[in-house]
Amino acid sequence: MLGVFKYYNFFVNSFADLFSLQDSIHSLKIVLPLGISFFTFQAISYVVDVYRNKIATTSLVDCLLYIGFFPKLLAGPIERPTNLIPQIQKSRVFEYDLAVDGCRQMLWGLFKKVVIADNCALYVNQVYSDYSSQSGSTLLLAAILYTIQIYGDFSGYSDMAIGSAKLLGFRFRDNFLFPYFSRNMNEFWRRWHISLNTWFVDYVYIPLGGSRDGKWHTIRNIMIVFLLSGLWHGADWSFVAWGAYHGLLLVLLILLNRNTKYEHVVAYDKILPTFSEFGQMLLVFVLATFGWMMFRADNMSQFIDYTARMCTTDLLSMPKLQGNTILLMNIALMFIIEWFMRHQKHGLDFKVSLIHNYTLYAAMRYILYTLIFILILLFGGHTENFIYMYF
Amino acid sequence: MKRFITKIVIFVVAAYLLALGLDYVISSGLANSLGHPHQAWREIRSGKYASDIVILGTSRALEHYDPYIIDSITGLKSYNLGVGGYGINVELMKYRYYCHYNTQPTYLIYDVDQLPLSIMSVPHQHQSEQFLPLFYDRTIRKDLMDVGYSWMDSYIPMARYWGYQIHSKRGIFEYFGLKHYCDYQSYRGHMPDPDPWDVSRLQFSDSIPSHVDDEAKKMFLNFVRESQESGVQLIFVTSPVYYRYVEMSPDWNRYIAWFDSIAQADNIPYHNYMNHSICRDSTLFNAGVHLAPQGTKLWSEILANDLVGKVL
Repeated sequence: MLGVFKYYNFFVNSFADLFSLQDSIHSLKIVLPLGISFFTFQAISYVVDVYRNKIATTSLVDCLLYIGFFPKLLAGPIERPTNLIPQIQKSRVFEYDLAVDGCRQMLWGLFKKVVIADNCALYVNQVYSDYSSQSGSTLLLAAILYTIQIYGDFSGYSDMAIGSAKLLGFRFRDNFLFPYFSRNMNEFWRRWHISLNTWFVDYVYIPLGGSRDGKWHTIRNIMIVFLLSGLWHGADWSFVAWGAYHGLLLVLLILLNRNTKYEHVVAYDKILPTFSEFGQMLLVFVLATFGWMMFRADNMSQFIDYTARMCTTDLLSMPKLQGNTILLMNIALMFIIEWFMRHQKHGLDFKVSLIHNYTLYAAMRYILYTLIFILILLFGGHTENFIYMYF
Repeated sequence: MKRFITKIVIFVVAAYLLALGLDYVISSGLANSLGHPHQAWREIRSGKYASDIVILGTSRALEHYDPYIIDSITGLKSYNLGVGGYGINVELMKYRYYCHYNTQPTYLIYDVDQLPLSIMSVPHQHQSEQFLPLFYDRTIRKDLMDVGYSWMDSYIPMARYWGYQIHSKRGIFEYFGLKHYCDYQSYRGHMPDPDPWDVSRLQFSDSIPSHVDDEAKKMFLNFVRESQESGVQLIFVTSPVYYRYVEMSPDWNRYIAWFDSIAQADNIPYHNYMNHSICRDSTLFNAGVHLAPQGTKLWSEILANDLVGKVL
């Protein structure tokens, strides 16, 4: 299915470009079904897990519900049959705490989507549509805002999906765990789009041998996984390059013996990170931003041109903010809240009290909900489709 | 479950009240804003701008008819009800609003060309923020629904402000007196366009409908009939258009002929300035269909003198 709908034209056109056969190729004019990459992967999971005897075959209705369950249909999280099908099959009772947590997670997701991502998109789209006439600093700011946009957009969708599933009594797998608070790219990929990455680990990386057969096999397997991951995101060489770039970053970590697998979140028992941790997080953010520049570009030549224009002398000039000071403040608010909630699952995950005084804690929570609600009312409304819906 | 539903209900009620308060603050702030385009609606609502002559039409009316000059030459009072970027449905809505708060004018100048002969939906269009505070005024609420707003815009607080974050911020600042926004001020509804001549604007914007809507024609004819029945003296005017624009837009003449036929049939004075010498001087324009401020002043004088001699 993916081969026909998503990759046929890409491979045929690439082949034609390579051998100058543009006039004689036949490309398909078909509409890509929404969320095809997500539900196809879930269907593969089901088939493989049944084959591996991890789960018994289910009724057609249960199987279809597993694949097409509406909260996650368009853009994940990519659920596993071992997690979701037993929940479908058992009778559910209403769980107050789960439903409340679901509402909070939906509110947080909505905030990230409509206040952060959609407003970043306004700036980013405007800059990208006329990037050749922008200063280096404006191009840099647009690249940074895209890094935040894609996080707000995709993790916002995931939070809303997971939250709405909780309202219905379902527990989905985590999909984002504050990835920009990572100390190296390995940790980043354990916190970014977790459901896809673990899918690749379980169904590609480990069957290929994982890290069992020495360093070079590990490197080979990592590169295969990331090239496939790039291709999963889109049928274009810029996505393949993006996957290769991230694969190479991980390979570099392995070669430099810096592939630390952190057990705890950054600054685990502290309020603020150390300078060293801050530097590590900044480096991850910079590396991720460079990757997202590839991801955002229409093609590789645009990415190269954009990067070249960005790295000019006016990179150090003042970027055009275009009245986006409030957006920057909202972004700061999002990161501050997430920093304090980084031990939890999402930005409004108040399962564990952070303060001993319950009344004060409850008051703070309600003030925060109100603030977020007001921000959604005031700064929402620029309709932007979900980025990952097209994958 | 009961506890959860109770909490959800409390949350929804609290959220509604909060949104209602915010909506009121923003709407009041914007409604009392000193600058264009809210200024004209506030002036109309004040009832202090009742005029002998009222000018109706699109942005061409808004920009071309200077009441200061017209008043000084005619000795009458005039008010410009031009509304930029919309069709006849919005123009007539503004006129009805004017008539509700002010006495009916003696003369009504309708700036006619191809543009009023369309019906346009308002939400999220050019300067549509001017309509948002008006929802608190019951006299226009139904009209606003007729020009494209939904029941949600009318009854769900803050729904219509979605996507208007700059204006929401302005409304709050205005309401609490933290800052006053007055980028442009109009004079008796007139708002000239200070931009310099731009050849790229010669062919006008693609967003302006090039077709004529039959419903709009019907609306126009009804309005002509109603105006005549109520004793308002209608005057059709086609204000100057840069000659090269007319050359590039052959349909323009067809619509002018249509207005001409109505004027003749109903005995309505029609002043067509499309062939006036002004139309060949690009220094007086800043776009194909828009006079620059110096052009507006010159032409308002010409028009006022012509009206004094022939109609008023």
